Amino acid sequence: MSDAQREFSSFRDPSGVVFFHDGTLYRQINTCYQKQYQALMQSGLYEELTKSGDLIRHTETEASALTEGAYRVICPDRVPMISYPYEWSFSMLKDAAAATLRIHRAALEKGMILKDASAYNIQFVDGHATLIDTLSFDFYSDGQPWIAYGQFCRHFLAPLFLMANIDIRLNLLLRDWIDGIPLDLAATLLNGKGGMFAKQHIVWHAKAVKKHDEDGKKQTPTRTIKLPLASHIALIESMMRGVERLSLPKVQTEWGDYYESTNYSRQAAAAKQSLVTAFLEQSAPKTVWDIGANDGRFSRLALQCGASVVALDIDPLAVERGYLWAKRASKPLLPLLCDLTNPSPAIGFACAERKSIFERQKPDCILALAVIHHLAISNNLPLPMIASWLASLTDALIIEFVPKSDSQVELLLKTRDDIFPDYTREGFETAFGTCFSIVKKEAIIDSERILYFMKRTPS
Amino acid sequence: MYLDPGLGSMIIQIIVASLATVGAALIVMRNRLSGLFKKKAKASDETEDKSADAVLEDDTAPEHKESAK
Repeated sequence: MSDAQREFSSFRDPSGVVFFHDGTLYRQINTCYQKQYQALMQSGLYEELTKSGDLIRHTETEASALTEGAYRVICPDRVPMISYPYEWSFSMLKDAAAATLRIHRAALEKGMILKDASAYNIQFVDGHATLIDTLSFDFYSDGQPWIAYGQFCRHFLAPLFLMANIDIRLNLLLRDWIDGIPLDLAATLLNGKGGMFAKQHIVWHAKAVKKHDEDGKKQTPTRTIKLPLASHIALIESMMRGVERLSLPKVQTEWGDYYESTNYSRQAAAAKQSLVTAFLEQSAPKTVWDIGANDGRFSRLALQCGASVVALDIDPLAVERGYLWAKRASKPLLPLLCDLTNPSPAIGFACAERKSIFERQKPDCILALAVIHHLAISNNLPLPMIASWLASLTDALIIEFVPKSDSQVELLLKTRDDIFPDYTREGFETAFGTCFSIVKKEAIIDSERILYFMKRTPS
Repeated sequence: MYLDPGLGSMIIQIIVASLATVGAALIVMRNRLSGLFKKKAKASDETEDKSADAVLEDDTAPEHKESAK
């Protein structure tokens, strides 16, 4: 298949390969994985897990394989936006961990296991943590310990313990350690916190890993380790209970009470909502990014217009609240942690294994509400640079201009020199006019702000 | 299997799993015990209810007797 394209990150597992053809996502299953795939499908495990939403659904196709050695080609349901664990809130990581354990537990009932526990194999579909790697299952052999246990602790437990006990921002360590936070580092940072659960799976685990690190060099034959099935199940179930008990301490972050302390009057807030809705209806996007979304309050307007929405925010608690709402409502809203001035880069092998956030989706429309002053004034970003950056991401833009006379901008300028002579409505329109044409602009009543609907001008 | 499970992770799993097995056994015992107490409590409640019913019956008994007269 000449014009098919292999997914770059799909190189580790010899069981199959992910590729794209004519915009459709396929997963090739190799003959070496035929028996495991048949067992997954025929044991009732696939039915059980897809019914609960824990595993992505797929259809078997007659599409041509990408490489030789194929047994079958399947077409999995598409996840609108791929996200990575360093962009998730605490509860997202916790739910992904719980789903991983639940899937392994269910697999054990059918004589199978989850052979790897990578956080990258879990994605969020309508607020539900879902395994997207259909080839993650293998046969259970009697007395076999869980081979993915170490990976599970690095990918899930280490960041969860650190977020819950030390600092909510520490899941960002996953950006530096693509295969999970090293357990010795997690143990050092935890410094005795996290109770017995952390002690067993992180501290003791780290010591055992260190102690047996070089066993491969020994001349003596490697001992066989057996874990009876009942103990295996007891271990998984105790981890399930432990994960369930994990919670964040009650903390308040910078934006935690934004909507309670905002300077909008009730009338202005209602006017802004109806204007945003009107512009969204005109734009009719299928995919929307709400940048600086807070807890996704305005993202919900895009949901009402039938779009799937990615809500980006710098505040971990705002992302947490947005996720809990999406989960409760089962809506296609994906809140992600993102510092717009330092967004998720491409990482991993050849800087291409995990894509940068902008490579993963090109949204039909971007909502940039009450965010321009943070980019231009808090971060000294020149308006023309912001405009060309946004034009590189989308064709349609709904953006709110917040003038210097607005109390929020006054607050930003209170503690610093005003070195922004171009930060005016005219300066804003000139800067954005180089990349966009203004379709509509409306003043938000009872406020100093202006809402614009713009379309990118063809380059 | 393309994942290197690591010997340290395997060994600690055996230790942690033994603790989990003991923990699971304790949970089962606790549930059985609390179930037993609940049953006993229920049984004694029922006995109390029955005696209460008996009292009620006794209370009403003279009336019946009187009406029988």
